[in-house]
Amino acid sequence: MAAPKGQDFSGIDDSELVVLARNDRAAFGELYERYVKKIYSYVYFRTGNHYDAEDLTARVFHRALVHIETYVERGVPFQAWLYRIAHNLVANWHRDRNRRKVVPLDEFVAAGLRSEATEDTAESQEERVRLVEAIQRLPDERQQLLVLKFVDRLSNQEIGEIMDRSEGAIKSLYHRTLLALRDELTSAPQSESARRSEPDQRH
Amino acid sequence: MVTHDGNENSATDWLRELLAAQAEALTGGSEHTDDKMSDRAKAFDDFDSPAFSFDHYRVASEQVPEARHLLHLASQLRDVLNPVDPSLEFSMRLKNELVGQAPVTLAVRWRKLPAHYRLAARLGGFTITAGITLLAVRRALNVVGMLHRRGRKAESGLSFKTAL
Repeated sequence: MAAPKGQDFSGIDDSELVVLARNDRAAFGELYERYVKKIYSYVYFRTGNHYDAEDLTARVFHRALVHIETYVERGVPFQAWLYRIAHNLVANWHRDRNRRKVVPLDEFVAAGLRSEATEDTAESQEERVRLVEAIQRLPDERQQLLVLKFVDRLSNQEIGEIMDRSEGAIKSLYHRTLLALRDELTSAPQSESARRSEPDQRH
Repeated sequence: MVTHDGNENSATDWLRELLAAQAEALTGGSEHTDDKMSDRAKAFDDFDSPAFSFDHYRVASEQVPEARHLLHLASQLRDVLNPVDPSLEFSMRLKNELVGQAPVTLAVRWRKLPAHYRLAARLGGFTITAGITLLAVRRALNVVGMLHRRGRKAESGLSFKTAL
């Protein structure tokens, strides 16, 4: 079942690898290498913590491995199929815990700050925090779109395959998401964390 | 909102196309390092300057402030939403599990179980835990009750002797 040692799958596209992966775990290993970071990022930004991100990412790949024999690429490429598994598991996770979709505030503010650490001002940090909080208030599918676009850096076509929509529909959804974010930002002039820290500043 | 061609829908459509083009340039630019993509990304860097040609994207002049605002917002999103990598240890362990080089642990067996099996296992576990807890509580209450009765008995015996 195992591939010969040192077998190089790098030149093989996903469709061929899927066929090989039905009988060859090493081929599945290559598919795993191609997508583990993206799936992990996606799950992490939808759950808000590394512990659940690891657990759900593992489940995504275990489920993919179990069902790869029956997977047939009918207009849904392997990548989109994998993201759909991830999306379903994340949706179940939220349903089981009855939680709001959480975007990990500290991580991405920190990551953003790292990129401009030297010139960042308190004002721009506050702006970032407000932006993240506004994202958290968006409906599920808009958060999903932003994570797929900006975190996983997928094209509109790829996002359309995952969300089962046309490219045009994704563009419209993106436009509406930006408008909604702008409205959120103008309706909430101060961030939650700034409001929480206000009493401390008075002392 | 009316554009130069008097069509309300097309005004939104052009803005939508501009935003989509910027997003593709912003997010594709980091992975596709070819010059063409990099030029596309650079083309959106100076949308704040008066020299930026909104005409090129057929955005009507009355839509330019809104377009600038949304382009700026998208740039902020790019700066704030960064990919997060899994730990190397986790990635290696999971790969070993998947390609069959790692011993199958209890956690792996659990993950592989179908959802209804996991639910049944959870219910079973809960029932057993609740049953054991109930038995333990009853036993504890019995012991407390017995001690309490002994105490009262001793107390009443003492008061009887004292009365005599």
